[in-house]
Amino acid sequence: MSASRSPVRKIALAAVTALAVICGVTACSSAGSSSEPTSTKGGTLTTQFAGVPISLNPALGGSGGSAIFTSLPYDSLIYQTGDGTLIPDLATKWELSEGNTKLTLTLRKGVTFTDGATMDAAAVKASLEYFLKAGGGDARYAGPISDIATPASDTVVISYTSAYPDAPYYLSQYWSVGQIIGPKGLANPKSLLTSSDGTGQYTYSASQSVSGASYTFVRNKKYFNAEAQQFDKIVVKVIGDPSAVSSAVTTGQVDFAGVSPTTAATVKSSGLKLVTAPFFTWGLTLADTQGTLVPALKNDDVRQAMAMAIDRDALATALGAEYTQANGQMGAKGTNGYVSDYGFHYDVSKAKSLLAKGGYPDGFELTVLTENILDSQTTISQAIAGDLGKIGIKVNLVVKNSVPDFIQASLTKQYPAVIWPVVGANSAQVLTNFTQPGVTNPFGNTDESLNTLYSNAQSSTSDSARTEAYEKITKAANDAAWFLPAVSTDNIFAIGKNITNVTASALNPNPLPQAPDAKYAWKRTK
Amino acid sequence: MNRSNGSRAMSAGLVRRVLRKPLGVVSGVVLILIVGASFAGQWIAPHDPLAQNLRIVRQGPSVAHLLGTDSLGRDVLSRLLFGGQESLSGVVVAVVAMLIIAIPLGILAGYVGGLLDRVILRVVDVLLSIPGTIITLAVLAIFNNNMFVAMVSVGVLASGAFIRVFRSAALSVRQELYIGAARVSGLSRVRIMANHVLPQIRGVLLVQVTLFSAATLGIQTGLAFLAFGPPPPSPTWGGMVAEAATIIQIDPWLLVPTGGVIALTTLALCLLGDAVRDANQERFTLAGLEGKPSAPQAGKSQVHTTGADRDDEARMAVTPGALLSVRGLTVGFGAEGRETTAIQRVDFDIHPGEVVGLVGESGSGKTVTALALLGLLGANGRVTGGSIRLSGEELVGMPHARLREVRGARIAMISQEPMVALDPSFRVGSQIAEAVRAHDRVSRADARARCEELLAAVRLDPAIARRYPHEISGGMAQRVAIAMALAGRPELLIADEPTTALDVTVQADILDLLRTVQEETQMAVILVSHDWGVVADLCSRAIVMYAGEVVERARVADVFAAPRHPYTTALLRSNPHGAEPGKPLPTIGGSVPAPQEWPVGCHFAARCPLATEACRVAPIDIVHLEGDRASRCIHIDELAEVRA
Amino acid sequence: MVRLIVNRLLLSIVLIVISSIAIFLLMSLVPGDPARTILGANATPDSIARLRDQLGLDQPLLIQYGTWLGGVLHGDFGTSVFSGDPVETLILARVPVTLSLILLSTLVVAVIGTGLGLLSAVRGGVLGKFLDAISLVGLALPSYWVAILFVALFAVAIRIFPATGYTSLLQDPGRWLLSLVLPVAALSLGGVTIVAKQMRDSAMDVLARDYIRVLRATGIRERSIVLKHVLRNAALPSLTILGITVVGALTGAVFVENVFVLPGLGTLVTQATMSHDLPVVLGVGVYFTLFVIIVNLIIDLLYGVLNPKVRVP
Repeated sequence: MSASRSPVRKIALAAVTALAVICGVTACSSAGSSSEPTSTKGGTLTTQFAGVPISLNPALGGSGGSAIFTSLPYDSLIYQTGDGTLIPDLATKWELSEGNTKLTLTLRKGVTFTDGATMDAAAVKASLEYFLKAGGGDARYAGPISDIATPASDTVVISYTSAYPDAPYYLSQYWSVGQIIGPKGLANPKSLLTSSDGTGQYTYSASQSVSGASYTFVRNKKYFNAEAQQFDKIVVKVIGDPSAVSSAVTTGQVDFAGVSPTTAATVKSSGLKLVTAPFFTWGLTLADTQGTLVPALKNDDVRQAMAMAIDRDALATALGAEYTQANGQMGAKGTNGYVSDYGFHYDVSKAKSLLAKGGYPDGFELTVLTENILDSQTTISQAIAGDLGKIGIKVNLVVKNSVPDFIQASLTKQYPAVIWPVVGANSAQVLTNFTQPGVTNPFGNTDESLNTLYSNAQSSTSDSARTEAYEKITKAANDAAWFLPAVSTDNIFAIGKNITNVTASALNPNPLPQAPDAKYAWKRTK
Repeated sequence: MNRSNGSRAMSAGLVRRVLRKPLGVVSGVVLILIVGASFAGQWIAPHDPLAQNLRIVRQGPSVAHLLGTDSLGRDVLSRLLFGGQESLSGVVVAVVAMLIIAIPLGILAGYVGGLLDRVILRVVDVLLSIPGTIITLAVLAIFNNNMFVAMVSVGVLASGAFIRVFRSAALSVRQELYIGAARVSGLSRVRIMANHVLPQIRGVLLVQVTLFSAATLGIQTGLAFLAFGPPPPSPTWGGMVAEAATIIQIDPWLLVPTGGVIALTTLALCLLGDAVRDANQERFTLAGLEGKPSAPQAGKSQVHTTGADRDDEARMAVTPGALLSVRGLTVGFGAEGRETTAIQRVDFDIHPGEVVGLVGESGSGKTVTALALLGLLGANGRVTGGSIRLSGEELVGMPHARLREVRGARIAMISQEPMVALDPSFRVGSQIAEAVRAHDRVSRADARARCEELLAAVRLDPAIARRYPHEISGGMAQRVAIAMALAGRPELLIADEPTTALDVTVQADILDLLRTVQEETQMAVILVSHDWGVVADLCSRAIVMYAGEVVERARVADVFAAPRHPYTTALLRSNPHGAEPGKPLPTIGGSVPAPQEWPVGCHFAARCPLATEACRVAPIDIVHLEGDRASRCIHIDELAEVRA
Repeated sequence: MVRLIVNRLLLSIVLIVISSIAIFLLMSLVPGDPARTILGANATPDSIARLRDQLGLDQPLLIQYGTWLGGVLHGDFGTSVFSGDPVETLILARVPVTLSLILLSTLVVAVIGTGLGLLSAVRGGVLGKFLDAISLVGLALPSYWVAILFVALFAVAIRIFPATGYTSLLQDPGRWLLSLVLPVAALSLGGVTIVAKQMRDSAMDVLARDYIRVLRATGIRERSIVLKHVLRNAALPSLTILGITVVGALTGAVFVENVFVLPGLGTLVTQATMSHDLPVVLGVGVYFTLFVIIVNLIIDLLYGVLNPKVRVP
């Protein structure tokens, strides 16, 4: 267990540009399919999340799994289903312009906010503009927005300064950008912390919640598609410790929980279904490739040698082979840009000779920053440190007990290397972790050739050309050896006995209970 | 004798006494082993605590890894050894921090007192009210999980409670006389505190240190469990429990050695603390009684089955009409079968309405005899021979429930120290009423009425009933005790030195009261006393006891006229009431021998001017004389000459 | 009695001010920036500066403290910099949990600890030795370790009690009790053994007193002697220990609430400390201090009731 129930941000990067475009153009019809005959509506759904909400104000809130706290009360413009498909939500259709610089959204009619106001173009524009200036951590996913226009009361046109093919994806419920806040809430953002003002299926009930421990959302009677609402109440419990999560879900105290690889077997043996999706790629990020703090890291041979010192197979086995895969490249198997039979290999003797060649036959000392929230018990970090020790590199781990502390520490530029998982549906998305400033790139490293490869991928028009570009990125990343991948881990979710229709995929690895179409929503069996 | 030498000897004794306790030794050895092994980890650990082997993770005990491996395939035993260094030094840091603050402040507050005491106590209040958890968490956050600083803060925050402990210890030492003597001799205060007060509280200190260490180990490992403390891969005990907890479902074994070592260390510390505490208490309670008890000689219970005193049937027979017949009563204390005899072969009768004095020096067995009559010898003592018959009914071996019905209702007792004979927590009236209700099934109101009646009988204002024992004087307390004894309308009252602890002025009043009450109720009274004046005043007959035996029985008038035992003679001479003015009080040379030192022959032989070889070779039998007199002496005839 | 209470309440104000200053100073030394914490990794320096300004973090410490104290005097503990909830709301929502935990645990410690101690003192022998052994083991096992074991045994393996979480008393008294059985057991174990040990020692001491012998000689029933006189007199030293145990349960609650995921003040304060949520930490600090003072006051009053010598007329 851990003392810190502090915000766990499963900061996730993912993109499904291609699907977004396809779906946007064909404008999937809004569905009103009836619920399955075997399911029953109403009652309370209790789910688990590992951390407290970053904020209940969507503009300041989190993405990925933590989006549950804001996506229940705030509908997003677009909805992403479990298999990654984008379907209409507040926007009934959308279209990206030629060159991917302009997104036109057509809004659903007859939708009202909790505060009574009508959801229209002006309201959406106001919400998006508030999001941009609120200063939330996810602001950058909104893209390079230059203008938001409202040519009609049901039409919003977002213009971007450069190509932004991912725009529709980032307006889905998975991210907070597209979650639309009502005018009264915008007028008094503080009120959003204690009451919600969205158009979502549920409204936040502060009186039934215990801040930091459990968050209760009750059915929104004004919701535009009552058919899709499956529960009267959804309670999100904050439970971080893997053992406690496992106990809670196996004893039926929660209907849904994200479990760890070490407890997954027990959960499974107790008869619960598991839904898994590839998620994190773990590895050592060498942030100080300029050698500011540790000159050795500037040396290409040294970085290559370090990559070879990691015993990936052993680590995967130790972590539980069923949900962990040894991985010598930055994307997980199954993501776009993954190259079969490619990647760093474990070879201690070669690593030693490379290290000697680089001028460090006796190794050197390296301080590595890590945390113990995502890397529970710092098992992965300790394993990587131990492997580096075998070629003479003495690793001092600095462990933070909370993610915010970790992020702050990383941004101080005092740590030459960090251990932090990366995520992406394709290698270009993963690459941004190391080419754009952030927790895995505090020193602001940039590389012309990598940037060129990235732009090429963004502007590619055919699937095959894009995949080819992604594969080039994968190889170029290993050549640069800024990130030394070790293992890929699955997101594992335990599903309570009476809950069905929970789906997850590499494209949407964090299932959420609600969907604007009953077809995609979680259901309770009779 | 030099004072500091004395205290050093005392604390050396403390260590010896601890070493005499098996649990103390075992826990000490375990503790030394754990601490020693931890700090010798570098040399004795079978593996590098950081060496991981991902191919043998989460294994149970094996020859290669005695306590198994953890989730990175590291040797658990080696990690425990190295982890101990961190946990144990954390404990030491906290203890030292606590002592540095608590000892000087505690001793100053207790010894100097006054304003300083009040100021220190206020500081303690603050220390005790500050939420320690929050402070410790904040300290850890500030100092980047530095366990050293955290443990210092734990020590500082805990010092409040210990200042109080050391203060009260110092306070009680201060009140001891010899510190006063040291003060008079001109030693400076600081030296007194360092040389006298500190060594005196060493026992308390050691106990507190071991217990605090145990508590601190819990906090230290608890913090490490919450992921504070040195970063991984450094092993910590708490961190290893945390790791075990996360994989409890796939490898429950890991929880055993990790929690086990913490539990074992805590257990050893607690047991050691207990042993030190017990040893420290012995130092006060057993002072002067040290040394092995010598094997019982005359005290052995076999003795009275051999020799001249083999009881003839006639003597064992109950005297007709006697209220109480005690025959051959022998009482032992100690483990069953290995008792040390405290009184032996005690015979006497008490007739209804008779007042009998039971006389003798301290240690002669009077009180033991009295308690034996009530079956109140305690868990440690028991009647090993003889009989006690009350109106013909045998009390020895009587079931507890029936014995309880005898107590208070047929035989009652008042004791020496009235001030401690009443329960301090209850009002006087409530205690009397309780005694009433123990015998009479009456309503509360009736009990209250009877209580007032009894208070009137002992000449007390009924308003006294609402007072607490600490609110009344010793004389009043004894009257209350008499009232309680009277509650059951007993046939026999045992008054065990009822006036000894009282002011001289009050003594006469209590004796008057006893006489009046006896006349009013016509109950029999056994008056235990060492004071012939009191006996002469109240009693018709006297039973003289010496070193566990009855040495003479006679009418009081006869005793005064012509004692028939040398001990009685000596006792009468040393009686202050009979002393000639201006002359020093004659005393009996020597002292009453302890039960272990009883000789085979006459117990009084060593102090007796008439003793001959014949007195020492064999037990002396009691001799029946004219009337109902009896004496345990073979030189009765010579007594007359001595008196002359 | 009244004077004692008034004195204590006056003292409590001083203590709260002192302890809040201590917490305030310490927390201000904690590295880390609440604004950064709130806004996350990708926040711009600009937005951080704006938020700092909003939160008043740019003002001198003394002014920050003054503002806080002024608010508290008006019953306003401020708002959580993190969640934006009023601190009172946050705390009041969690007080029932921690209070249930501690009150139940106190009850268990008092009743079982006293009972075991008394029994052991009266019976002695094998039972006494057995109780001694049990209490030592209880004392030696770390509470968090016991808590883990309890969850594994009673919640996951046998499934008698819920593993985690809390049900409100008002919502469902039965489930409230069930949800607290394991946490209370884990929290009480140490206290029970300490109180039992103290009770045994002082009961033995009382049993050796003259007045007990006098009571026996008076023919009072043994049961009445033990349950009335021994209990009453031996309770005094145990009461002090009980007070210390109750205050210590506050620390224990932090560990136990974390293991059992109870939404109490312990989990709140750990979260708040980690996220540098100063108003919440201060608020909980005030409540903890108040709690300690109230416990000590109650113990003092009980002491007065039980011990006529210190009773204030």
